[in-house]
Amino acid sequence: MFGRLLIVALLVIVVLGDKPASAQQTTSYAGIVIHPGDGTVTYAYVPLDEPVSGIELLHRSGISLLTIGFGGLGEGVCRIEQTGCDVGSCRTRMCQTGDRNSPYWRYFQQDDGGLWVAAAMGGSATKIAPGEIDGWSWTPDEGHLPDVAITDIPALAGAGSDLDAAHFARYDANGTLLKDDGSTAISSKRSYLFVVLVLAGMAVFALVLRLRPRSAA
Amino acid sequence: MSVRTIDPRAWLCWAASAMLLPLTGRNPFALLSVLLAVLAVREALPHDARLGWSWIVRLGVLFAGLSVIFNVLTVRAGDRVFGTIPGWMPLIDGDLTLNSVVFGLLSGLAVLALVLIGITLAAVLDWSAVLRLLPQSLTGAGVAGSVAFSFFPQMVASYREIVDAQAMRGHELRGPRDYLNLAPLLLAGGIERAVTMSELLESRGFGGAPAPVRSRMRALAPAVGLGAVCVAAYLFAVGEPLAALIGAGFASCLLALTIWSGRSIEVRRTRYRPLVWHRGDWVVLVGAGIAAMSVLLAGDAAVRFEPYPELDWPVASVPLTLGLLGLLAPAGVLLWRERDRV
Repeated sequence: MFGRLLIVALLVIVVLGDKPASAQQTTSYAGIVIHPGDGTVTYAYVPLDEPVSGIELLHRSGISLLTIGFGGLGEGVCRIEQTGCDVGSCRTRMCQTGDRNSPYWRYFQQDDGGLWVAAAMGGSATKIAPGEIDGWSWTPDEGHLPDVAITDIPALAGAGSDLDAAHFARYDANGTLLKDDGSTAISSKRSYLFVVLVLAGMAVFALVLRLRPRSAA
Repeated sequence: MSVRTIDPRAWLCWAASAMLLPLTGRNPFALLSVLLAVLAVREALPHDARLGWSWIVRLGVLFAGLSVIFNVLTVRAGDRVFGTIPGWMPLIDGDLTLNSVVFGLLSGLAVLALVLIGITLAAVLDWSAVLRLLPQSLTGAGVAGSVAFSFFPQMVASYREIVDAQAMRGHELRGPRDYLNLAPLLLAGGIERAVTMSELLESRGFGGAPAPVRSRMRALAPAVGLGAVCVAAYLFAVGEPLAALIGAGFASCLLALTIWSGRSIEVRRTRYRPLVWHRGDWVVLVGAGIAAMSVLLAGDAAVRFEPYPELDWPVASVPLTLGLLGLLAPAGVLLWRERDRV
């Protein structure tokens, strides 16, 4: 009798215990929500099989990123996409000016109720498992990150049916998808040609001066 | 021909204008423009004015190389990875990126440009004339600054003299121990020069004026003012123009107070040969002004260049490049005067 009860109990445990495992298998990805402070929001979808740090997750997202190392403290985020600061300012004050209310890239995580709370540890010290969402906000205090569920991430990031690769998409304040028009900031070819010609002229001028016959000093 | 035919005030303006870009930006086109302009001005100098500075140029090139190596080994940002240092190497492990090489090269280029501007200025400037330009109240600081500025070149000259003298006696420097033996000789030479300098200053009445009675604030004003100038320059260099402006304003107030308070109580200094401002000096001043304005008015993208996180082509600004041609003005003036003398 006791043996039968034990078998039934084990079966119950196996059946009930299997449910969360199968649920985790369906979410073999993690999400990132980025709020650069200008009203836009970027959602990123990152395929994930094992826990990684928040910084590694950002790297894997394919989003343009600038980080610098702080030795044993890990990496600090200087710039995400176009928002942030250069290496020098990042190394000195993590992009903050002397003003306490100046923004920097602040790291957030969702609590059990799905609310955004500032992370107690840096992005290098956390472990993000599949099914979790990280948040980054360019702010000195509140994150202003939108409420989002992990199941919404693939659609928001524009993953479509291609779930094996990372994707990200940016939305404006009205929730309209912003498309990259592909325009680059490089100057026109004519400007390049002109500047190169001027530089070549200066080099030739310096060379002529060097080779000119000199009167006695 | 004397290169001191250009007024020292014009040279100072030219150097300040030339230093503006390497201190504030890393745009390769703009940096190359400044570098080539300074090289052209150096080539326009008479041969003797360019002698003896090659070791500083070599030092600048060495620091430029170190800048590249340091940057590559410490920065882990960038999208162009060309190698990886394995994780078992502490501190420097991680991806090596082309972005960091580019940033290191540009920083090296900026350092080299600054070094060349500095040695050009040191070769052409009439330091005694510069000292005479200082307000009466700042003469002490000026003399102290010039003594400090000439310390290193004089030590190098002294080192060369000692090495040459020892070589004539058949002594050859081979190992570190031989160099160690030079230290007492250099030290003795330095002390001897310091004593001579103090006697020279004393014989010329330096510090001979009666000690003025000043309040503590007025006594500290010159030092605090000069310190504020340094802080303002640093803030400007690290991209904090507003804070730099406030610092410069504070420094100006203190220095003005220093000059004003020193007028009535110090011995008046006379000048035997006052500086004369020529037409060529105007040309240099206007050229420097055009270059400085073109840097200040050019957009951030034309002056600054960030190879992180993505390595992209830098902006080539035609107005900025044309404006920086103004830095060639001293070369034109020197050539013009050289032609007049032939």
